[in-house]
Amino acid sequence: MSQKSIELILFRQITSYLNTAAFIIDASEKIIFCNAAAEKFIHFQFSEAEEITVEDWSKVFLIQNTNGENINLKESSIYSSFQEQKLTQGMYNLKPANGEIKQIQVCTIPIISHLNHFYGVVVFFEDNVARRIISVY
Amino acid sequence: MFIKLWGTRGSLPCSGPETVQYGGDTSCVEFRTERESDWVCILDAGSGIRRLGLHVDKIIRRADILLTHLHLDHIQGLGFFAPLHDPNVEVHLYGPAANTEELHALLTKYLSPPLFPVLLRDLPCQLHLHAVNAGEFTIGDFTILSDFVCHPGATVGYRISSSSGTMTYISDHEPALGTKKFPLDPDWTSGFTLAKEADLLLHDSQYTQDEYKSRAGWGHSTIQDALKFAKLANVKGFVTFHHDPAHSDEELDKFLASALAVVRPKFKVYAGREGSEFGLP
Repeated sequence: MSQKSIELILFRQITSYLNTAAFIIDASEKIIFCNAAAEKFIHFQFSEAEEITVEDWSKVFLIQNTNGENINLKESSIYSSFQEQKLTQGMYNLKPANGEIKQIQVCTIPIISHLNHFYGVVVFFEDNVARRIISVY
Repeated sequence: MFIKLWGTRGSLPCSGPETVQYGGDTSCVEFRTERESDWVCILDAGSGIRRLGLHVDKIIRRADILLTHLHLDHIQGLGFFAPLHDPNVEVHLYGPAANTEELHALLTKYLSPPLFPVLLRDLPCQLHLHAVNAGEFTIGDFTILSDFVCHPGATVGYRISSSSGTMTYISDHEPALGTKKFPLDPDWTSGFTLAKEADLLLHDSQYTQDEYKSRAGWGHSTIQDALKFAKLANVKGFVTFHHDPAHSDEELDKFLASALAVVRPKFKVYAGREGSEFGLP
């Protein structure tokens, strides 16, 4: 492992405060951080020491298209955001470790510095039917 | 390496009987391979650079000024640095790169009317501007590593190495921002690579723990967090820097003593006072 860029550090900091499930994938295609909301969502404890390679993503969760067919993560909007370095959205079925399939919406944002260096993507996702109680301050 | 502090105050210059020991000038640090030479390297151009300029005027032929960022307390002394007005001096000015405007355009915002009477382009010295990115470059015998650090706006820290040792300068830095328990793992700590095992670390130590509660996100560290950062980086020596303008000499001594009692560092800790000199090794 090596020192993370300030852009990744700040994204980790902010997503750790959010109730929206989020994970961060670095430029080498490793999941380097999952926030608590994401851990709860996918029923997976992401230890700080762990970094999950793209090949091992499927050990953590599977995704399906909305017809219920398994798809490779490399065919998903998450990966196209990664490859094209563009913001993408998608709707999938997510099958986490406990096997309970949920329909999710996914928004993937590329992390590109002010000097146009690509550091990875941050992936936000939520249950398509869940509604949260939100307090407005 | 010879190092001298010409300004250790943050945010705003402050003068008065209550700041005589630590000084009231804003960020400026001189470093050279030898104490006396005709080439001076400088970190930041806060108000402290004015006195440094008077000290080296007519002696130096080259000055390299490394700016961490362009907040006013780090550039406000620039126009008063005497060698800038000497056509025989070569001045190299380094500052963090931005994608919106060139370094020249950003500096011109301050060094132009109505804020300043002289335009950057009209300065008599031989001026060269260099945009700094995250990476390594050399100045004479020094190898400089720069990297972006946690502070509002594009801000870098510098790790300066020579055959005699390594000094790290992170004047404005809030590595604890958003962390529930500081410090985190080194890989996830802003500035860690810059500071790792440095012989001397000059680091932002602006606030007390109480003050930080209402100032999180302003880009600065508490003295305690700065010491914890230094401990994580396993530095050999540490200098408090960027003191809050509201803190008197008496308070700064007291705050440092309190932080030391909590963190109990094994490395040497120096109170960053104007005029302090350090030698590496």
